[in-house]
Amino acid sequence: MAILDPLVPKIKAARIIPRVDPALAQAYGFDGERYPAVGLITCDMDDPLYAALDEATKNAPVDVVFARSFYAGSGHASGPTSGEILGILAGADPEDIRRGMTSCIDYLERVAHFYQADDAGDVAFFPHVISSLGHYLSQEAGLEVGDAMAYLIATPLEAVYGVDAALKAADVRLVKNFPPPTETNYAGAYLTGGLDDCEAAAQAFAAEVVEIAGNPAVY
Amino acid sequence: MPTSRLMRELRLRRGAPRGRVPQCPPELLPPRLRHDAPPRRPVLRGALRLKRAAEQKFANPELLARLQNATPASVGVGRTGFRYRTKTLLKFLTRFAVAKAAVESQVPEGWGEAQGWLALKSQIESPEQFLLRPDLGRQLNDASMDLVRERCKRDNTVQIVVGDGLSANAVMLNAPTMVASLTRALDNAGISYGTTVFVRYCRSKQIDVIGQEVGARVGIILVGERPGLGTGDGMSAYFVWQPADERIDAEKQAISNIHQRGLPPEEAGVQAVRVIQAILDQQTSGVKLNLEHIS
Repeated sequence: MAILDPLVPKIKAARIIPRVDPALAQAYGFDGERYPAVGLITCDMDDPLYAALDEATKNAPVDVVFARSFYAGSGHASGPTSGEILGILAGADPEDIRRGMTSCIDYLERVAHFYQADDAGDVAFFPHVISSLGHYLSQEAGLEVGDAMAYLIATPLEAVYGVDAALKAADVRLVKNFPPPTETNYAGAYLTGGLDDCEAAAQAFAAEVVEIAGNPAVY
Repeated sequence: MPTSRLMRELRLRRGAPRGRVPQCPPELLPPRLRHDAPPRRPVLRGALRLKRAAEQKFANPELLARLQNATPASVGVGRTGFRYRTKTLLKFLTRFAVAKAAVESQVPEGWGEAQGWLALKSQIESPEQFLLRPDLGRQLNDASMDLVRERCKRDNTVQIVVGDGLSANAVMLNAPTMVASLTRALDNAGISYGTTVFVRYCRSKQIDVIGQEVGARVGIILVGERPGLGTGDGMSAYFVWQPADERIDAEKQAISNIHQRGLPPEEAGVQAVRVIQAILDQQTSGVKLNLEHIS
């Protein structure tokens, strides 16, 4: 356990519905005729899953029809399979959903991690750079598919301070702000610019979060 | 850069020792998503099977057949969902294997001498190094450079170089025939040529290195082309007016796809002499050379 060690998300539960009931689809706000095949996935970290669902839309012809975080986060989960987020992928074919889920899980295992800000592992944050947005997050952020984005999330004070540092560290602009508290009591923002600028912004964000974790009350 | 590398960089900057990445324990993955789970094969029945069969109907089958016969490439191969069919994939793997075998092929020891050519080597020491160090493939090693100075005839009109390049197979199949045809045609045209050399681990820049050293007016090099799918036997001929170290690609002429299914090597030899004559007349090669009068 060390500062800036990655914290790897865990899949809590997953299922595929090959042909979803149209009434259920309607209840969740999507067209069951157009998207008969559906994949469900819960994870113990919400922001990595949002990024992974976006990645899935790049690797398979699937759309994200539902993705929401749960109150108070996975530390206060309703059950062992709940985690802190449910994501739903939908597509025309169960095979497409399978491909989407596989790419989603691979991305969670390999790429989209939280990071530790302190030695004890009590403080976690998400300084994630997406080099090329997929169809889901581009829509959420109001950007184009293929744009670069820094997806920066941390606990409340660190998030505000860190996003400020990120905006000053590079030629990036703020596209969406998440003031605290989010459902999981975190905060953060989406920043965009050139890929290099997003990377510099993410590193500046991470540096500030770690610095605050080391000296929390010194101002 | 992926975020993990950004964070590792930050960690190093802060002076911390490197940590280890914890893996997600496989037993926490649900059975269907684990890599060791047996795959579930859907059996096509009824309406879905008919739908798949109907997808294979084309609006104009004769036109498609003509298109397919016009090229060895995979055209109109169909799909299953968004994926290749197994047959398509297997065909691709086979043809890829042909290309890989060609890249890995090596000219046997003594082959160059057996053709009657002076055998030289670039600065590359092993086949593995060849692909990784194009810069070393563009220079002769010291012993070879000495051989060129001692044994090569100087100040002729044409210098012929043969090199293995990216496909030894191509050169072994096509170069001897083309060189024979080329030299015969040069003799008929009364154009002098120097000592033909063979360079192992050769890049096409060698024509400038060797041509400059022997003072040739026109250089021609025959090298194995980078193989494509299913073809590993294509050879290229590059021509250059006044070979020298500072010559760039725009100043060079090329004839590519010299092989039995493309331009046969005997014909290529004759064609090459026509190009050489045009280069000598116009005293240039490459972009500026006008070849409209050559068939």
